[in-house]
Amino acid sequence: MNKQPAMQSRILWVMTLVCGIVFLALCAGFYRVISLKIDTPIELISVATPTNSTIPQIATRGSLLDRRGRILAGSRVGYKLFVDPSLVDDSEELAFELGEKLRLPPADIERKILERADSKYVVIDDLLEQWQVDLIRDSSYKCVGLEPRLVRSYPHGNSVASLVGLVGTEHSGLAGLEHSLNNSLGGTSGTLVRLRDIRKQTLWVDPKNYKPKNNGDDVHLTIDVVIQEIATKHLQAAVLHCNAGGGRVVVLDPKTGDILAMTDILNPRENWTQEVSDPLREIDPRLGRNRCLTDPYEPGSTFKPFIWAAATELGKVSVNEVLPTPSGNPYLTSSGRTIRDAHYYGPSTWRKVLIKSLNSGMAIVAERLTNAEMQKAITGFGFGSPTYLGLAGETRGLITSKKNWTSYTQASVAMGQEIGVTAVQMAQGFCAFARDGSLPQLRLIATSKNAAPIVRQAITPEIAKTTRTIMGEVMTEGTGKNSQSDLYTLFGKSGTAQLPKADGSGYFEDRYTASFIAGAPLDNPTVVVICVIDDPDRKIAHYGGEVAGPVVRDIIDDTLEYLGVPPTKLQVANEH
Amino acid sequence: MARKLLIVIFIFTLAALSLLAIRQEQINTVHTMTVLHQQIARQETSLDALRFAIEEECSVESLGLFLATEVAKHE
Repeated sequence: MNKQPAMQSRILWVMTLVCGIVFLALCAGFYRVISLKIDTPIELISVATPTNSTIPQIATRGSLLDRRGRILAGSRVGYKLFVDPSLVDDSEELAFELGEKLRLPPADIERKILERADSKYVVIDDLLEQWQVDLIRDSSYKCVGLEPRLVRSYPHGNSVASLVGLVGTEHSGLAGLEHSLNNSLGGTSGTLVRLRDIRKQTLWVDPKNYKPKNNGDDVHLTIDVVIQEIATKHLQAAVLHCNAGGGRVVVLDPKTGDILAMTDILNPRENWTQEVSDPLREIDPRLGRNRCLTDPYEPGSTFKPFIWAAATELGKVSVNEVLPTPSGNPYLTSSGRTIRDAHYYGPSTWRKVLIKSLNSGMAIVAERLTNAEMQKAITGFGFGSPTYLGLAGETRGLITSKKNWTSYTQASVAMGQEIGVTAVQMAQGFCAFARDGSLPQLRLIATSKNAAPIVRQAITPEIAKTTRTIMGEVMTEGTGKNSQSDLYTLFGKSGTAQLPKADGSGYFEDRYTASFIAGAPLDNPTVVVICVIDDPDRKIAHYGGEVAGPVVRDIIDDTLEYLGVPPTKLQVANEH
Repeated sequence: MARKLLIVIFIFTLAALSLLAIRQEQINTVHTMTVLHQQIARQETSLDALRFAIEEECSVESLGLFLATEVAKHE
């Protein structure tokens, strides 16, 4: 009976002892924590590492994508390799090891370390490849580190260079779309602050100190890389073939107003005066200006369809009216100005005036229009206003002011002289003929798959169709014969304008701007292409129909084939 | 009285030990999460690098060059 209380007393004693020991240990631990916090020994301070570590959360810049999702410009995180020379025991040995592992010249590595031996940060390589990054991560160098950085890549090379532009060292847009779309593309980097132990293991992440990164938005463009390549290839070949100073091409879809391709080439030539120059492009092709938007040129005869359509719509002349165009001698206007034609056909119908590109016929009808009517016709097609594509540096073109507008201007503008237009303005205006007479708002950013809003109704659908049909005849009977396609029925117009002198003292007698604008297929236009060749070598060729026409034809053929549009000419042949 | 005090100390000790264990588990979880976070970031970087490599290999220029080489080989 006495055993039980003795047993209980023994258990109680053991429990007291155990609890006492544990309690004392906890108190001792608590005391040690407090004492280390209040009075940290110097020897511990020297080995203690900072407890907080900030990891940057690098936000990537949004990508520029073409209309099919191909990456034109995109960002990724790359890594720099750096060395802390203060932690290096033997720089020669380290340089040798790193050089062997990463296939870098050891002498260069050692030189970089020794040059800044007293610093704590020496960059060995600005951008490592992935396999090099993996090797460094797997190694255990204390003095070697990786630093993340953003890298902007342009996988499709230089074919879209001046359009896309480039970014600077801070990854903000400097030129082109990179600059215009900087707000959408740019992201905001974040930070993650972590509490870590001496072994650098994360102990805690305070949500209050976590700032998430915000990646930039991707932007889909209306450009198609394949069509851009097609345009660049044909333009490059033509510019080199005729030893021209440069060339420009714009390809667009008239139904939606989408720009499918826009290319601009320069061909610096020796011993030529007044060459087209772009100093920034010489530094970097991506810094160059986009001449399709920034440089106006005299369109020459490619401008005639606009005046032709406007005069017809105003009832100043009918399509089959015979005009007193000269048979052999130049035409004299009522103000005594001499108007020359390339060929003289005698009295011709208004239709033939456009097909054969008769300056005299255009001058005769221009005299029937008032100055205000002519000016309204020009602005109605969008000339004199920017297209608001969203790219920096776009010009509105050059139009003589109402105050200075004379009868001389009236005749000149009807022939495409004394007016400055951009290739993009021409393409937009030409859309009126490819559509129902309305001008679409041109787009470079694919906001939706629907058709773009209409800027204005330039001419009636009937006049648009009539002009288009007659421009179809330009390709078979007129100045577009050399540019006729074997696959598709084209409608278009050529232009050969004398090059104005930069000092304003008139025009060069033997230097030209050759251009050609066309759309296809005639019955259901899917594409409009304009090609402007700057100052082709006259000894080789200089007429628009000869130099720029074949470029437009080849681009149309390849583009429509790529877009899956069945050849209209073969269809007609098969039906027969 | 002593017995009650001992029981209280015992319970407190157990509670403190459990809290310590939970805290350690929490630290381990955070550490694992950080490691995973870093791994995900590295994988994303690798994927991006691959994405760009594929894009470059499939560019019109590269494909054209490849086709031209192949055609020349067969001719």
